[in-house]
Amino acid sequence: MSALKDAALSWLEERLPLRSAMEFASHKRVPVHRGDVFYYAGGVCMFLFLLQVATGILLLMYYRVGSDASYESVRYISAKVPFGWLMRSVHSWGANLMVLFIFIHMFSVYFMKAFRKPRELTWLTGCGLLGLAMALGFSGYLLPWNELAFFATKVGTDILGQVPLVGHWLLRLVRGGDEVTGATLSRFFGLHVAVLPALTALGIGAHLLLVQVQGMAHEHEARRTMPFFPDFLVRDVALWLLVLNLVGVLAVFFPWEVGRKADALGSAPAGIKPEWYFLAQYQFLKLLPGRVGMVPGELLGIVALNGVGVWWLLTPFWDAAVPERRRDAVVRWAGLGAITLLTVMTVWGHLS
Amino acid sequence: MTLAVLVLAAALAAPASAAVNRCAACHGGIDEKHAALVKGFERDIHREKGLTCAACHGGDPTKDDAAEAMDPEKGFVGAPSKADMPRFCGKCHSDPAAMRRSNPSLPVDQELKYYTSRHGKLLKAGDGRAASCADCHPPHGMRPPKDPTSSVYAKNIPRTCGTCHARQSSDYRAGVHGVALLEKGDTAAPVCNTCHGNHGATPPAAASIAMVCGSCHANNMEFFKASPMAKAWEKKGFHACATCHGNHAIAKPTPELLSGSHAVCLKCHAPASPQLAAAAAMKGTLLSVETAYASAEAAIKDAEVRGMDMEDARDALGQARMAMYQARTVVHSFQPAKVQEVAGGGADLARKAEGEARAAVLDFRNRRIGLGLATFVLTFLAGALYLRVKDQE
Repeated sequence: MSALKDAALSWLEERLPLRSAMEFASHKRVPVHRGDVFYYAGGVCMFLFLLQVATGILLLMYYRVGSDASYESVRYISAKVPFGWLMRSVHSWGANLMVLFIFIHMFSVYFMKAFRKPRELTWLTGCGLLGLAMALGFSGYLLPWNELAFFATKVGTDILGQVPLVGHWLLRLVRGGDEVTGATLSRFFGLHVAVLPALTALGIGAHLLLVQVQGMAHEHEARRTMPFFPDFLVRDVALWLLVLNLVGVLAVFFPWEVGRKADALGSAPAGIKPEWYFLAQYQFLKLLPGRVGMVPGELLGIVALNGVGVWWLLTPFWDAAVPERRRDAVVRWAGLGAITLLTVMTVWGHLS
Repeated sequence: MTLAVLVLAAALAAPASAAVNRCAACHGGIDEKHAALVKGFERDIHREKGLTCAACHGGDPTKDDAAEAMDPEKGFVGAPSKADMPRFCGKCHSDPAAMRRSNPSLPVDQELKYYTSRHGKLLKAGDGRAASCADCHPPHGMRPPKDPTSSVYAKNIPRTCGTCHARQSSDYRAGVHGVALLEKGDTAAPVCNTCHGNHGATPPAAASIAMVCGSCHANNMEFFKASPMAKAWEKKGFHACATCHGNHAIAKPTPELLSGSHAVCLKCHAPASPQLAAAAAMKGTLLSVETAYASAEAAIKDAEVRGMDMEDARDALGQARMAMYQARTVVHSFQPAKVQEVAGGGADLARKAEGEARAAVLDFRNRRIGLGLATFVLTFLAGALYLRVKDQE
């Protein structure tokens, strides 16, 4: 058996730099310290992405796109396809958990100041991946073509129409017309199953490559390190199993609803709200008055939200510009402020 | 120029003087009763159509002086007597030209029909108790039938008719139609005038009962008319539907009407007769489909509470319900085999729906068992990895 394994390895070695890769991997180490538990959040994000890809492919085998087919096919998946209900619920819960873990990962990186030179590009690619995850969530939300999906997409895309000069053009580009129709569904489907996953896969590749190239932050400051293979990976996998367990429990006990089929002529269901990860922005826009001076309130809100987004994206750069003695405090308070604001607005949006 | 302005001002002022109605100024202050009449007229449909007091009562509403305003030479007729009321209202309501101006959709044969009604005939014969126009349509505050505050709005009709026909009104309220209208708020449910007519109100004769009920229950009527029972009842002078179902206090029909101590068939047929045996067979068939339906519905609800998709089962149950209703209708053919044919299909559909619901509940349980097993395996693996980590440390 061992001889066979050696033969296979040497066959591969002649074709791939396997031993050097294994050699490189064996030297990879992870710092051990108080906050090292947060290192696992990134791995969980990747695991959940893979879970989304796997369940997404299974759903694709039965899902049909179109205003006269999407709802029916999702209903069919949930009611008739063996384990279809499980795949759909795991996909929906997995998406939500993935966004949650991306937030946890992002804030842990932020508070550990792991975005600082030379890791600015890792931070930027990470922010890009958060944007992609939210875009995947938004585009996937429409695909069941139920009432909630329809009106959430209508409200969400309406916001685009507020952008000055190009707003109407953007709105038509995203919707495939002036209204949310089957054309919107088709393009959201295309984005959700092809464009966005491909970009996310590339983004994850770039993100991981940057982590490899630069090593872990604080590696030299930590008193102790542990090898990535197998010590850290074993812990990673154990956590993945627990997360998979959590997704399973959520899927079985809180299966995702099929809802009622979208009706463009019907009225929006009472208390309609976006997904939790858009609630803070939604609540902020709701609080704004119709007009602030000469400017429409909604437009002002969109500009402000984009401003905050850009400010967050450029964290490594403004951080570098802050005098060194105050840098840590500024980062800490700005981060705590961001978390508090996000939490308060999300909870407020949920309760109101 | 000045002349032109004056002419224009006079022309503009002219319509205003035509609308002057001084009646209210005096009559509103006579006493409380008159004040209420004046106030009530403010929301009267006739006023909304642009009519004033003088349109019905005549006289000159522009005069402040009572004698001048209520001068019979100027057409003043005052309040009509009860006997004169149909003609009084008929001045406009029987005049196509007048009705075309104010409400072209209203028929102009109401007065004519009234005199063909029991009310009209009695009034003509001098019976002062007979209902006339104002008894159903209280004047000075009259509203159209679609207005919920109108005395002739569907839900208010039992009360309006009940002023005189108290017993019938009370029976109606207890019957299926009364419950549907007054308790469930179904304004499409029949009310007094649906069966008796309104201006031509008359109790339906024995021969026309089936026509009256059949205007809504068309299939029941067709089955009954084609059955051997129809001719026998005609000979005996029975009221077709009312003989079994009653008239005003129509009870919700159940299979118990066919057989058992409450059976209506016992009114004519002996308990041991072949007719009663046929009725008992039909009752058994109806009960069987009703039981299958109720059981399927409970099973579907049980599955739905657990979040299972029951769309197909609901479809089958809907078809079963349709068959159940059809079977109740087919009973009026008095042929047990026909009832069995329709009801049997419905019972099969209900059983199919129940089977799907029970399978869904089983599937629901299996999901939890599956989750339990998966959780066990995953937790075991995670635990094994944890032990490995501990071992490494």
